[in-house]
Amino acid sequence: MRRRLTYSIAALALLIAGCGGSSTSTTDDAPSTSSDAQRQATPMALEQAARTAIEQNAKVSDYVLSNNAIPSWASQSTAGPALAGLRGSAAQRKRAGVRVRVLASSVTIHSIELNPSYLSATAAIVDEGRVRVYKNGRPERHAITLKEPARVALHRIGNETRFVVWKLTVVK
Amino acid sequence: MRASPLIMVGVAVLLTASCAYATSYRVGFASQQEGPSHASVGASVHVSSSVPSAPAGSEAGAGSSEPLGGGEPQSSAPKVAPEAESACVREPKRIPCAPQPEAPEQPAKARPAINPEAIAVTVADRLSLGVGKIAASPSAQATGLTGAASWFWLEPTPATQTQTLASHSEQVTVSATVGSVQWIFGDGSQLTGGAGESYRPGAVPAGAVTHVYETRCLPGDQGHDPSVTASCGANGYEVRAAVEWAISYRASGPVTTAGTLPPRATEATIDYPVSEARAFLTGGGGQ
Repeated sequence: MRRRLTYSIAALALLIAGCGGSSTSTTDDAPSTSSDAQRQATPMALEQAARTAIEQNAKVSDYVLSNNAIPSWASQSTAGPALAGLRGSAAQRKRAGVRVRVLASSVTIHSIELNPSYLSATAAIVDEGRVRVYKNGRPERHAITLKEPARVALHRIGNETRFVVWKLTVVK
Repeated sequence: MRASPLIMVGVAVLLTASCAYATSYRVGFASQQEGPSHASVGASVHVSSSVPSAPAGSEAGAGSSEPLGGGEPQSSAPKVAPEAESACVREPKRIPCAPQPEAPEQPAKARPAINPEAIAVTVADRLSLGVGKIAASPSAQATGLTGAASWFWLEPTPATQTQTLASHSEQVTVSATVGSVQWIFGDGSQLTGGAGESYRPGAVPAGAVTHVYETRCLPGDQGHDPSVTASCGANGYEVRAAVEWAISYRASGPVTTAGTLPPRATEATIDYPVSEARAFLTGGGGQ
């Protein structure tokens, strides 16, 4: 009986340690950049750079939704009106005492079109996921399921094989 | 009976508050990023020129006919290809997609047309054509003096600026050279010349920009001293140097060409107070 209790405690401790371990994998780590000045800017590489920017921007979006704050690494993937929009939305939620818990999120990139100048690109994406809204610390009864098709305008950074998400328009 | 209107008013207030509350924030992944249509952040890239047809012999001549529009088409619905090869689902949350392997170069069908002029326009927009500050002797702090030449020059002297952008073996170099500088001295006179030269005693060099003011203009003069001119500002004369930049480009690679772009003008201003020295005759000299 005592041995079983010991095993149970040990298993519980391991479980708690495991949970703690996973929860510390915070998203505040700066995502790696796709900047590679040496690589020749082939259309393929540029498209991949645009894809990376969209994925990193999605992480920024998740972070801002969860924390109502702009992470320091946001500017690596997001700039211009897109970043201004995030900043404004975070401030509005903060003022309204609203926190959002992201339960699940994903971004699907359906198409990327490079501008003939190779200096900008547009993409069609769909942001999906589930969030739970907390107003003044109290959770709303139901989680919200989101599915937002959007058009993304990306700008290339100088000569680099790197893009930033510049403007995002939700397609109604 | 008396309580019911109060309750109704209370409910109405609560409803109004909740409606306002509900519309005051966004919780969407993408919709929270929809922001102002204009932002003051730098690094903006806009290609606004129209695209002439691809030059003959261009390897990209059969490429996309998409117009250059700054990359922000909004009216058209997105082309959603359900089983697009490039589709990449980030699932589960926060696990990035595996990087796609570098595929061999696709033939020309996937390659958009190269338009060196359009690239040059974009590069030219990125040139920060700073003209420096206007320096003066006597300095603005010391104030100029009527009847004595004031020297003006740009510091640092604006120089030719060049920027090169290489994109898929096409290399476009854009150069902005200082054309002329128009000096407007604030008292109604102006001259067109160069960037000026800093003051040095002795003979006046050919490139020096000098001006002799005839009327004083000190802070506070306007409205108080009837002798000042109407162009005298609150802090002195407004001296302006407008630099005109001639912009040209040279492209090499699949499309080799050269040309010029519309000139640009940038300017610097300072407030330059000018005082006067009056001589007075005094009686009883020598006694």
